[in-house]
Amino acid sequence: MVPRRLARLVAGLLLVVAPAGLALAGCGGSSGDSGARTGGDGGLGNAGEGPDDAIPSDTIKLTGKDVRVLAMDNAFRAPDIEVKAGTKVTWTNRGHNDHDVLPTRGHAWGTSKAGMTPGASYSETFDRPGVYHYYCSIHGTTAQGMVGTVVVTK
Amino acid sequence: MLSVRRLLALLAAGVLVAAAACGSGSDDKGDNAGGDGGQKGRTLEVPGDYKTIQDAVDAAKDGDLVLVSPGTYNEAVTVETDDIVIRGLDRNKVILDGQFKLDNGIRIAGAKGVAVENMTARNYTKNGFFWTGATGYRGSYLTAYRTGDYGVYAYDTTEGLIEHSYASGSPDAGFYIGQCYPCDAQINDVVSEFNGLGYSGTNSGGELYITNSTFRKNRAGIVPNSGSYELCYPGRETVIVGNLVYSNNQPDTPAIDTALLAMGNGILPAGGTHNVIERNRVWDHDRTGIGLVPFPEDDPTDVVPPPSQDTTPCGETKNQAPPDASKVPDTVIWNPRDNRVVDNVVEDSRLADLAVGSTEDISQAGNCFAGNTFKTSAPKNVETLAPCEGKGSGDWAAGALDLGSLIAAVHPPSQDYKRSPVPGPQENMPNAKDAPARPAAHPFEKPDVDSITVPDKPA
Repeated sequence: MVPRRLARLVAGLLLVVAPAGLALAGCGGSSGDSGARTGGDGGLGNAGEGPDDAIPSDTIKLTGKDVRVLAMDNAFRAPDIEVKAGTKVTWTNRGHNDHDVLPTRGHAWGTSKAGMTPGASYSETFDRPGVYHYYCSIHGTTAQGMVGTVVVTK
Repeated sequence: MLSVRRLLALLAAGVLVAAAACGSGSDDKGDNAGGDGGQKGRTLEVPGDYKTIQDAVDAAKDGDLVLVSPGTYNEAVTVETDDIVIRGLDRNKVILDGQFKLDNGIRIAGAKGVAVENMTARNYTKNGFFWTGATGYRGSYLTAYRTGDYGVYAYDTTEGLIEHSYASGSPDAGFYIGQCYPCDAQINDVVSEFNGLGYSGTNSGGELYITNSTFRKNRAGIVPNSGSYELCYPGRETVIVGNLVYSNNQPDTPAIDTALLAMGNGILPAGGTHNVIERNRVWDHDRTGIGLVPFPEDDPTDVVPPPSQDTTPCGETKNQAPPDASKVPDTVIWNPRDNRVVDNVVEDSRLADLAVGSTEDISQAGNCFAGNTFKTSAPKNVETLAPCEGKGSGDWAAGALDLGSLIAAVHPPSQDYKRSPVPGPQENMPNAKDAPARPAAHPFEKPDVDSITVPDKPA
């Protein structure tokens, strides 16, 4: 990650400050998706867990069948979201560090850090209404630090 | 943002378990005046009462002191209990050793008012000492070395004090305070060397002070910056006063990409706004002594917010939906604005003692320079061009900072942090055995920076 990142940083600034002839090619890299998964009923429906009913007060509503959450360095954006049942939530690591996305209860969904390296994405479709708390074990605990909630409504 | 109910439930469960588990060996052994909170607590001794630091921490309640005897502890401790103090009896002999397998020496996750004192953390894959999601924190007489990310690290955490501490051998920063505004925090009397960056703080500031400390022999010295890869951008209002910053050209340290990019600079706010840099002594740098430079961010998550949002508290920006990706460019440039560089003594900089550059009209950026002792600047006559009082005059193009050459230089590659130098013995906390426990409920006091003078060079 480090050499690639440096090259992109340097290239990015050179594009702006250097004469055109010095601009480096290939600096506009994009994050590479990987590990996308659709859970459907086969995922959450087999969770064997009851959703936790504690809803953070500042949960925001996201609309659409596909919504995004960013895993930045040490924080999710947005961490606490509300979506309709059947919505696919995609977490994308846009920070410099590895992350994971783990449910605070059970193991029916989520991804280890192997699936959330910088630039990688992980998706889960939430079909069953409930409150799904999750966290990054590298930068938080089940209760504090890099934590989030998906509230799924009917 | 964080689930208070979940925390309360966990704490309640933890306290009950702890109460059952520590019926023996956890008597009141000291009158640990609670300091800020005035609590009285017990002393939980390691390994006398509890075999591991984690066991003692898990058993501790608000106001307690976990007192650790000399020894090597192969632990990664997580703290979730408010207002406790974890103290070593001997800074140089109480050693947490991650053996390059464990991630953090001590990680304070959301617990308020936790103080960690007088011990060493080494050989961790991530951080030596790490506070996150906390209000109220203090680290005193800490040593961290050979850590894979940061030495002493406070993230998304406010109201803190890091003092009398030492960090070396991190590819990122020896000391870091990030993602907070206002931070209400101070780093005071620390030494940071042989790191990628002596100090770094992304998107932090607001009552954030770096004072009376030494940053030497890193790739770069003090490097606060902005970036949308963390929340609460931009970096702003960091006050850097009375520090010794020298010889930050060290070619054989571990170094992340940003450290390589920043190599050879003393104090380098990259894309920050409203920072104050006063009365520091800065010397021996291959590039700039004090440089106000842009920070280029490739593949950003957002655009640079307008100046009208400079004073938006961090808490108001945390739970926002990700921006529409189609409206975010491939690269954004965080340019320096409204920074103040005053009364520093800067010498022996091979590119320029003082420098400022921007990809926008730098003459309108509001940065100012006054009262500094220096020989060279880029652009020339920077104190005439950008005075802190009155209107500037002159030619901004004369001797302008060549940003292209500044970033295009090739630097020695990062070295393995596992092979960083082992520091010598560090100063112990006075009276560690008997000093009252002082949890860190409100450790931050706004320092009297006006009383700080330019420090003398070391003998």
